[in-house]
Amino acid sequence: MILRESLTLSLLGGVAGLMAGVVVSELFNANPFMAGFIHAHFSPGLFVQVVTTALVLEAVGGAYPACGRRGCDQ
Amino acid sequence: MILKSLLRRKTRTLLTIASVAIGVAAIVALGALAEGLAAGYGAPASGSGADLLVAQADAMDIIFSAVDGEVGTALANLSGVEEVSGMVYTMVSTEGVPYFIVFGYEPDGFAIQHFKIVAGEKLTEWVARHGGRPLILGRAAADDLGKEVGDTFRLYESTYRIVGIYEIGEPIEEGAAVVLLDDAQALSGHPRQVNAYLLKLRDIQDAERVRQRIKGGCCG
Repeated sequence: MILRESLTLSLLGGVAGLMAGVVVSELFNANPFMAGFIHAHFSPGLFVQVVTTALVLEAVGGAYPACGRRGCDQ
Repeated sequence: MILKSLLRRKTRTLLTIASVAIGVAAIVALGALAEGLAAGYGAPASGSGADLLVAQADAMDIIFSAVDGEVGTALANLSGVEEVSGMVYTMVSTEGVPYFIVFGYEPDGFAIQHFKIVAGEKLTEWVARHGGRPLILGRAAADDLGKEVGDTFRLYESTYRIVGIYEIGEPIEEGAAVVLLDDAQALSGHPRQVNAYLLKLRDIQDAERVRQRIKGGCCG
């Protein structure tokens, strides 16, 4: 239950974060002050990497309290 | 069941989602910028149609590279080399933009041909008829700065005339301008140097042999 809650939170946070990251990068691209110097570029691999990282970290983060409640050592 | 549990503690849920979202957004933005930077720095060489690029051996990046003009003459005389084109890649300040990328190419060289003119005319055509200080501007830069063909454009204290707008598909090159090699050398403060020489070979199979000769110090 705790682990599933944790994964749900990470999925929701991951999707919100992806959208926020894209918006921030597009704002950066739209700024002529820096657009000619660096231009943000997205690849599918980046999105997969980020979502996987968020899910794995939250799974690890949720595993400890889940174990604490159910007693993983027993 | 899970959603019900999460909605029961709304503040905790929102704070947790926000913390994950901030971390993910930071990774996405930094990752996108890093990918853009890597793609952009390779673009001037990869899109030009060159088979080899010769730059200063110990330069951290091509923008910091300086190769003497005599090297270009020696490279042109190397067996297997069909054409050599010098390239200047520099950063100048212009109207409201402190770091604006400017490329310099020989007007009749092969490397400048990859800038596809969508409005106005090529540097070569303009120079043949009018001379002066022409400049072609990338589509993204023209849109961002509100410039079009016929306008003037200041780079440091010099005024250039925009004679063409190009599209190329690479963000860094489209957010930049191209001027004649001599003008770019003056802007960079190195009148007899280029950042790199782009080489077109007679036979691509010769690339490794030519590369080894250049690395061996054939050309200065």
